[in-house]
Amino acid sequence: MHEILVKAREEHYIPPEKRSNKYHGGMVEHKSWLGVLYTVILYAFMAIIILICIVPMWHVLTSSLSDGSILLFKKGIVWWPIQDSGAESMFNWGGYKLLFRNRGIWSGFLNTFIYVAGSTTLGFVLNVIGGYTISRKSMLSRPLALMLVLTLMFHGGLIPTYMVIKALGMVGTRWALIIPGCTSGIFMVIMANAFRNVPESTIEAAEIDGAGHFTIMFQVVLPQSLSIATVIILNTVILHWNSWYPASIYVPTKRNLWPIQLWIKEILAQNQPSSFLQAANPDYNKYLLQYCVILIASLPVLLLFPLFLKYIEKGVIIGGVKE
Amino acid sequence: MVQKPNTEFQAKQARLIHSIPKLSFGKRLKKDLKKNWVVYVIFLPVLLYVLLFNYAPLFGLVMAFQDFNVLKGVFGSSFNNFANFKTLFFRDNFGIVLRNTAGMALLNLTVGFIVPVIFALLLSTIRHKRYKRVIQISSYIPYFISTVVVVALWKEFLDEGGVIANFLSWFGFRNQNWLANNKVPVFWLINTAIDIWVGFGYGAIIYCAAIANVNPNLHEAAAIDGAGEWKRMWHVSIPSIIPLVVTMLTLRIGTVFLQGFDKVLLLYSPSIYSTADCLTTYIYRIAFAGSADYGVSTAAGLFQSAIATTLLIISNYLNRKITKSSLF
Repeated sequence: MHEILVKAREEHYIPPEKRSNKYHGGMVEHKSWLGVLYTVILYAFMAIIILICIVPMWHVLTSSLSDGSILLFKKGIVWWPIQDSGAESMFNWGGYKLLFRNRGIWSGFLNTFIYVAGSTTLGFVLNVIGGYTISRKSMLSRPLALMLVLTLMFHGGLIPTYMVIKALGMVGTRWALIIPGCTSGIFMVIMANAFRNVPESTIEAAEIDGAGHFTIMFQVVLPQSLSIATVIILNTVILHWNSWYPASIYVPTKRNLWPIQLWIKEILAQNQPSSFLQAANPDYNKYLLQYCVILIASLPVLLLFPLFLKYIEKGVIIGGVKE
Repeated sequence: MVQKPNTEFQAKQARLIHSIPKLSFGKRLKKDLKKNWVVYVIFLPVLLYVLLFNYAPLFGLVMAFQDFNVLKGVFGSSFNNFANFKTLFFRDNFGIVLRNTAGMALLNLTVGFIVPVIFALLLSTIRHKRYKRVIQISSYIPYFISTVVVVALWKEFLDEGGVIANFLSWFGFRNQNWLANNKVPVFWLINTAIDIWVGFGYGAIIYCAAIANVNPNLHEAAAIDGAGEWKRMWHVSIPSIIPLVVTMLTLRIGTVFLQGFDKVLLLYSPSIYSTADCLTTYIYRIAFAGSADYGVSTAAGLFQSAIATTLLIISNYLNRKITKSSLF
């Protein structure tokens, strides 16, 4: 009896060097038909999930290249650009031609660039300065850190914030969209945590070499915390690229200051078929304008995010940075 | 390990160090300021920023207790004690607004919270690495689309004959413009569905990371004992991520009354105010539409902040009790 057991153990024994340190499914188990069924259903279900995530933007792309007059009466998803039967081309670029002639939309893009660049730069500088100060060993660093953390818990709310920004004379100017939203307490706290992980010896070495605080900030601690700095910058950029709410409060009537997202909102509200169909010879391409502008405004972020995937995933894990 | 002083000189030095008397707070502060004043000067812009945009609005909350007049300002307006709150609480629609806010918050906290967890668990059972990556990357896409565009797309799909309305008509629902339906849970469900679509992939990242960190030996041992995909999910993956799930849930309780309501402003229309109006939109309308009653609007904002802060403190307390860790 004992011998049989020993033999069995020897047969099933895998020497350490042959053992895989990571478990790969299917190595030990025998798949039952139920397991196979589960896998098939799961893979199909996930395919549907992929479709649900991708199809809306695909629908925008194909709609923007369709024929306006036919699209007007088409309901549901447009899987491929639909054209008039007599059309010679597969795509209708009329909507994009209208878009290029629309000066309001281009000023919207320009404004968004200004807001994103301005608030990201300013926010970055504030984050580094704030993070550096509260990461240092000094008597005031803890109270200052507490002051930043408290801002996460208590909010003045919409109207008091509006009144402060109004008192500063920023309402109706670009500054209202650049300065107030450029950073937040959580970004500075995350930055400080990254700076605390920088070895003390490198900072001391720089100090002995006579480096000033700005040199230490930007040439010693920041280069060693680049990935977290990138995470914060990315979050700021995406937040401001997609922002519409502050603009609708602080520059509601100044169209020349509107960011692109507010223009999209306006075009969607104004560009109803009923408004342009009243013309004797309606331009159906106007109906395409909304799809074109949505696509152009979403494209930069959608094309860029796969490049920064690593940082985006990292961002969630270090602090759940959102809004 | 600290070395013992082995020479007369070192022993003397050690005695000297330990005999230094502790300085008083004022003297220590003076010394610290002398040493670190440059850092504090550099910090001034941040201090200014935080005081202006985070703390000054807190001071502005006194407007909630004032008969606020824009021309007179915060310092000139007269106090009316709790008149603004009385006006607010006795408005006809305030109860409805409160009910809608609570309804949407509760749906977000339950359904909206659990979907990313389930998605991450299902994703973890997919063995084909490349397929898994494709699913994950596509699931992030909605998160990067702006709120304005998300709402525009959903409006089109929810309209009569739109893809979602058509889909629902297969299940016996009338093909209709769902955003014009003012029956009770309809708008709340739409709001939650949009939140889920936007955030499920992004929200699942943290759970995917946690599941990937589960010790592979546990899975191997379970598989040797004959546990299939499902059993391993139930008995290995889920128990390992439960602490994280609890932490995330308690964090979410703290923010559920504040976040994600700006899209309601884009989604709703006067015909469905009875089910769609929530505190955020209510505050916005009192302040910027029609009469512009800043006092009452600030009172409503203070009310919302008070609830949010209470929830945050409760969630932090729960978090400390359950997981032995806390934010503050």
